[in-house]
Amino acid sequence: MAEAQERSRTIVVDDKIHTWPHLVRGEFLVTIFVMVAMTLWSLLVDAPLEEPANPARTPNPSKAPWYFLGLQEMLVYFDPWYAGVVLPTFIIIGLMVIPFIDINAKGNGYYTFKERKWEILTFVIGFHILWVVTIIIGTFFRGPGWNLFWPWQRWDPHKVVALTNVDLPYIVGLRDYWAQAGFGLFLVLLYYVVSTWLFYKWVIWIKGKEFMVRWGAVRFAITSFLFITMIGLPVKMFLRLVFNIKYIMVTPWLNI
Amino acid sequence: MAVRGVDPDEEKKSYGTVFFVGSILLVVVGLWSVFDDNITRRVWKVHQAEFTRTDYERAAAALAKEQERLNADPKYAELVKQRAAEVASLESGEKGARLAELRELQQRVEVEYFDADQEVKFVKSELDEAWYEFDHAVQLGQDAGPYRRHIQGLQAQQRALEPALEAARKKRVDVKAEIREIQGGVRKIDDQIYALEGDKRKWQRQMDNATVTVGPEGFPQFTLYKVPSIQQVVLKDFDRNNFDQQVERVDRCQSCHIGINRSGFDDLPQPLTTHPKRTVFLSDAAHPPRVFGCTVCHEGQGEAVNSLAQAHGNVKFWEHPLLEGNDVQANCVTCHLNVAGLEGAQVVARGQQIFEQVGCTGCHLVEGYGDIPKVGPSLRRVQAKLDPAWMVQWIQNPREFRSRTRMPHFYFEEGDAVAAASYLWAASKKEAEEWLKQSPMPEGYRPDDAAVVEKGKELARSVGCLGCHGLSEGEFTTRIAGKDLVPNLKDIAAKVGPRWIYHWLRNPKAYNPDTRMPSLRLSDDEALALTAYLMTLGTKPEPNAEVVARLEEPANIARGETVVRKYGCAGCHDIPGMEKESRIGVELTTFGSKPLEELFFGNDTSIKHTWKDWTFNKIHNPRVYATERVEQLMPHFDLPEEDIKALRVLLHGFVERKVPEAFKADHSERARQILEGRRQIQEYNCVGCHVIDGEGGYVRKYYEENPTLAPPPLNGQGEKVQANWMFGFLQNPENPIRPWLKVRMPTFGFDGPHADVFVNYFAALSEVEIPYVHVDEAKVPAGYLEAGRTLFSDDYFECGSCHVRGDKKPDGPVEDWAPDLNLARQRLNPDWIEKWILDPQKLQPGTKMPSFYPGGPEDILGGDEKKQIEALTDYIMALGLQPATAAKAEGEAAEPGKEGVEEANKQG
Repeated sequence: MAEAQERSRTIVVDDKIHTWPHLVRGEFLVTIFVMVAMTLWSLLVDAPLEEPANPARTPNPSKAPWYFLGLQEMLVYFDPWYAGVVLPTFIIIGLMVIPFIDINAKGNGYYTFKERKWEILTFVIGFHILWVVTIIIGTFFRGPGWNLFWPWQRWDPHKVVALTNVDLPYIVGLRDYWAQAGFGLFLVLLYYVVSTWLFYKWVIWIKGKEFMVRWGAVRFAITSFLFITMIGLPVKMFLRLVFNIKYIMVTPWLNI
Repeated sequence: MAVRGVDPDEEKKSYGTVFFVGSILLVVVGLWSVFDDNITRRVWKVHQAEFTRTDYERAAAALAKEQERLNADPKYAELVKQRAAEVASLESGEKGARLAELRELQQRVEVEYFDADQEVKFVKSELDEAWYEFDHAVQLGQDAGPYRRHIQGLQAQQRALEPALEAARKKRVDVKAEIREIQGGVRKIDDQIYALEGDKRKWQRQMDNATVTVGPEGFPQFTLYKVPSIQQVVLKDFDRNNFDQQVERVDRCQSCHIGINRSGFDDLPQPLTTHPKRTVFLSDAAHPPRVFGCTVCHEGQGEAVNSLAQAHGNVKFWEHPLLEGNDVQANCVTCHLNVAGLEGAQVVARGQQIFEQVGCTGCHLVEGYGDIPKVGPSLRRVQAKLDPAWMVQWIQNPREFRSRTRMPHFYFEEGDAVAAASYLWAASKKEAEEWLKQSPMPEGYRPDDAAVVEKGKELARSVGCLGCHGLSEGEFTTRIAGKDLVPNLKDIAAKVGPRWIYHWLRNPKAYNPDTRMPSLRLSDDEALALTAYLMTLGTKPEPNAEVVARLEEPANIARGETVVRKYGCAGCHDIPGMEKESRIGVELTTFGSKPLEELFFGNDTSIKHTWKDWTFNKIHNPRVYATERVEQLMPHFDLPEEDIKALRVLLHGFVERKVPEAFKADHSERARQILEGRRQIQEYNCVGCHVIDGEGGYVRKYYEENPTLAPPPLNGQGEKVQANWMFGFLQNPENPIRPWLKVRMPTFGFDGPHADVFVNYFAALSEVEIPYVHVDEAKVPAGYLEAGRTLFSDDYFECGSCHVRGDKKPDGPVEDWAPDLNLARQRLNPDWIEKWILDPQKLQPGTKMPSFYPGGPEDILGGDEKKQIEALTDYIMALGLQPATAAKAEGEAAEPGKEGVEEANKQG
């Protein structure tokens, strides 16, 4: 009895299973339903052609391909050099360094959420929430003049929105040019310093001191910088949408 | 350790139900997609099949009817009977036996001939080879002797064979000829039957065209209706895309509208019906569909065939939806320079006329309409002309004074009208005073003398004023879109005073050098009488010092300048100090393609958001889109709805489109001359008096009792008169053709270029070159002038009974008089005179000129009518040779023209 139990356990613990029927059968069924869905889609919805391209009359709104609309959406909140160059570069670098900064070996070859909760949640925030949501906003909520429209509102090309955004240093009463730039730079640095400290505390609290030792200062620094920079996007969106703040740091060369 | 993701029972599970449901769904959507692709999205197949069926059935019915008719035709029946008898005789009896014999013989003879022919051919072929060998040997310097001998041998062989071939050929021909002769009777009858069966064959062909025959040869075949197929026209070089690259245009409209260019299907419903006025629109000389397609005129999405809405372009993002009804005329102007008088373009032509004449171009720039002169009068010296109070009233609301004026209503704010008047009053002060200094109140002006007033009235109604002006309510000659193009003078005394009128009548150009108003060459007395009469029309205003004081207030003048500038008064009027103002309206060159989001609908919610509705309502009520914050300046023209729609059709055609020359209608110098001439004719209202190009002559309504006393119609004028004469006459018409008429051809004071436009216009209309006419008397055949004189005389045509010749006037009443023939030499084209004598009614329907041909006298020039007409023409052209002074010296005794004739004869 014990032997049989032992054997069955051995079989079960062996991670390998056959592609037939376990994989192929499922794939085949899924293929059938996908084909049904695609055929129905093509029958019911015609290709969304618009008017012929005309160099003399750009369409309003002028939208990038859908997969770039997240990027285009970021342009609303940041300078083109920041939203169009710096952030995308960090995204690519960030994706590249994941294997080096992620030292949690759990989940290799199998699915697990419990064992990789924080790693997965970080990715969910970055990809599903920030990237996908901005694409959805850019695709469905931005109308003529890149104004925000609810799905039930008509896209009125003549919509007027009051332009009342102000730079943060201006709000606090600074009028001097250099004072404004200095104050802005100070705030940005403060954001990084405070956030890094909070991030450190948070990692210790979640993962424990032992993990931090194993992680090391370099990996922590890189991760914390990328994470804080990423969180900077929703922070800025919040400031813009709620407080009409245009920029936090204003200099003749770059604005954040 | 837990079991990770492996279910040992998985292999035992059945997914049969899921698979079954999925497969059924896949089959259903698969079938649906086939149905969708072949039925739902191929509506044109149904239409085409229906048309093919109708086409076939109609042809079959017509064929049956034709057959019935033929059967009832005794001639046809007789022929059929004869043919049967003839065929029968060939099948039996002596003829039949001989024919069978001959056919058998023919087979043998053919074989014989073939053999003989082949033998000769082979020898010839060998001969060719031998010649080659011979030439080759000669070229290589070898001994050619043997080759030559070989050739000679072959030639001898050929000669020996030829008689046999000739004999075989002859036999063959003879047999054939005999067979032919025996069958000749049938063939002759067949030919006659063929001639009678023309219509039958036509219907048969139509049936054949509607069907296809299927099945392999030698087996039973089936005749089926033709399978519907896409009918498309590809215009390779018509379009250029937004990047200025050439792109093909594909029109598949005829896949549904398959009967569009076939006659006899007018009764079918859309889309199968025949094109209205097919022979006009689709003829090879106009727009043959195989060259132009359909969308060139009608727009729509030519390449789409999936549904009616798609094909007609009534879908989102398609920029050129089908033009329905009269709207299609918008596209006429894309290719046609002259739409006036173009059949099928009446609406857009009317729109164009309104656009040009109501004053749209004063504020709006449109390519091709840039040099239309300002439609309003000059205000350069207006202070000398108008009553100040009247002026204010007029600016405030012009239609209150004249309900049919072209001057639009501006809905001025309180005080704006006075301000505008102040500015105009002040700006014209200097020049007005100068003019007044030179134009004193005339002496001898007796407004209270009833006889003078009566004389003035008589003059006004006879001398030609009525050609343009109305003198009482409702009187008018030329009107467009409910507007009088020339002011009605029924209230004139309320507007201007006698001093201005008198000088204006005497010499309008002294007041305004650019005026359209001509001089009627009035004498002093005539002008005074006319002035006295005109001053009885309307209430004379009292001098109003208060108004003058208001007009002279500096604040008003300053405000007035802003008002005049803001509302663009200078677009229609010549205003001192505003010579360089630009047009205040938006440019309309591409207005027809303006996208909806560029049209401002204001806060009005009752107007549908379409280009058509926007445009209609903008013209109908120009301030309709104004809001509290958006001001609109366009004034109200009060046009009838029908005319607004016509204008809209024109505006619809204002799109930028580069049509290749090959597709364009006439854009030659000629066409341009006609356009320019037509505009000038409109400007000077020539059509008020004269019928030109079949239109106008509105003044003739006052001459219904005696049309011969009205100004003459000018149809075919370019062909009729000499260009030199017309050029001179237009500049100075002091020596009229019909001096006995009371109505006068006025002096418009045209300069060379203006007169040139008219001359070119008439020449272009008549499609003649502008020739230099020189009549060479030396070339007039001997005896022609004498013959002409005889025909002219009272013994024959009595030309002198109506036609004036210099000082010699006809005896009859003035109504019967006809133009002075002594002027013919300078004025008329001899070619035209010949046509005129031959058939006057053809050139000018209703003329009183009698027709003498055919049916000319037998005893002149041997009764040759052509020669008689030539002789008469030569005589008439010679009449003018007589110097006027000589005629006077000779007195009435001299036979008019005689001297000229003699002189001409001497030269001959």
